Amino acid sequence: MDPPGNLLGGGIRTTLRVIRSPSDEALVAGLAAGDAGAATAFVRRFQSRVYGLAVTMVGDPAVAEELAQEAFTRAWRHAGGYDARRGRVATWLLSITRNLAIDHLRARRTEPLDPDAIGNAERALWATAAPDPGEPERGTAELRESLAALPDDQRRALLLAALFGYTAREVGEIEQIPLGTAKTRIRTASLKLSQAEEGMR
Amino acid sequence: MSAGDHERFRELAPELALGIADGEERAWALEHLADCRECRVRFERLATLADELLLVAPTAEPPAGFEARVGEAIGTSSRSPGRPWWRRLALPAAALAAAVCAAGAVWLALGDDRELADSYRETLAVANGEYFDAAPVELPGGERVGYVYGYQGRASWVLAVIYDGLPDGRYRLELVTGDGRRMPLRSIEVADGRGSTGAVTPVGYEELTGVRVLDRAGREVAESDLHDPD
Repeated sequence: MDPPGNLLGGGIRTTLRVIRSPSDEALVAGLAAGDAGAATAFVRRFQSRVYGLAVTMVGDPAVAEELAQEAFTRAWRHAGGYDARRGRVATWLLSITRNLAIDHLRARRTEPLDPDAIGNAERALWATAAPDPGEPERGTAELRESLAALPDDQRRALLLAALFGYTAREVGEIEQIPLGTAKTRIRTASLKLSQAEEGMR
Repeated sequence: MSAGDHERFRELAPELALGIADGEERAWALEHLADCRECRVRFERLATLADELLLVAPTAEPPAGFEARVGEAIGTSSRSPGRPWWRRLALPAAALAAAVCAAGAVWLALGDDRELADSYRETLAVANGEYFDAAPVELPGGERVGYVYGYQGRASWVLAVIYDGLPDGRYRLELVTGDGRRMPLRSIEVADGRGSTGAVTPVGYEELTGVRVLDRAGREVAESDLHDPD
């Protein structure tokens, strides 16, 4: 008779072990509970995303590192307030990063933005946005395709607003177009992407 | 609510979702959202899209040692939300009294710590609240220009007072929550270096982490960190 637990028979004991990495939400829960292991895993999982967004937005690696560090610190402080119904962990954390970067950029925005900075950031978006193997992407590839399908002027306006926090008035100044045109470009691009996302669901 | 309101909201919604609508537009749009389910559904889709756009940003490995530095920062920081109420009694007595007066609730007589604590508890019981708080408003260089007083209760509120150090003019106040949301509060008019404003907050005070003071161009000129360690 086979020993208990040998489900395959044949006298060979087989143990199936499923090794799963904790979900993003589980890591945040661990973070909220003050679990050091969860904190380390959380930073390890998201550091390239957070730093990548920060350096894309501010350009300066040293400043980006400070902002990324502050983003993780804030996430740790406020992990207890994370609500999965409001969005994914990655977008929550990246929103914190974006707000910090925008604060930094706005404080320095006494001079018009160097047009090359936008161009470089936009090129970087297409060149290096490889998915993180640790976290399967959900719809990001499709979103990138939708972005790429936008007319250049609409895509630029949207990215200036979404990634760099420029208001419509500032987008107008950078692009040297009337305020109404800047608003229309941002609005049209947003609605096109939103409709494309709806179509994929 | 008219058809024109919906149309106006539809035009504003993308900018609102991207967080770039100006203060007055944002205040109007949020008010509209509160009463319009149809627009709320539309807005939620756009807000999700705005968040998802951040995911297309390129990834990049931070410099060596980053993980350790974050760990060190976390290990040495204090987790501020949820501080027990009695720690908040360390508020300056004058600031606490000002907050209570502003609420029009009670006058809190200055006395020794025990009397203060008793009065404090009674005040909270009357107002069905959990705690009062106060935090300085500071310029980027650390110079103190005023205070924010806050109340956590069934209706939470904040009162911002500027007493010195800001040029005269109109400023916008913005609430910041722990999960990164930003919500406009009322504007504040500073004349002869002084000004004040207050309002019920759309979320519980304990969810707030800061109040930002913005100039007309939307630049932050001062900030109050509501969860600085006591």
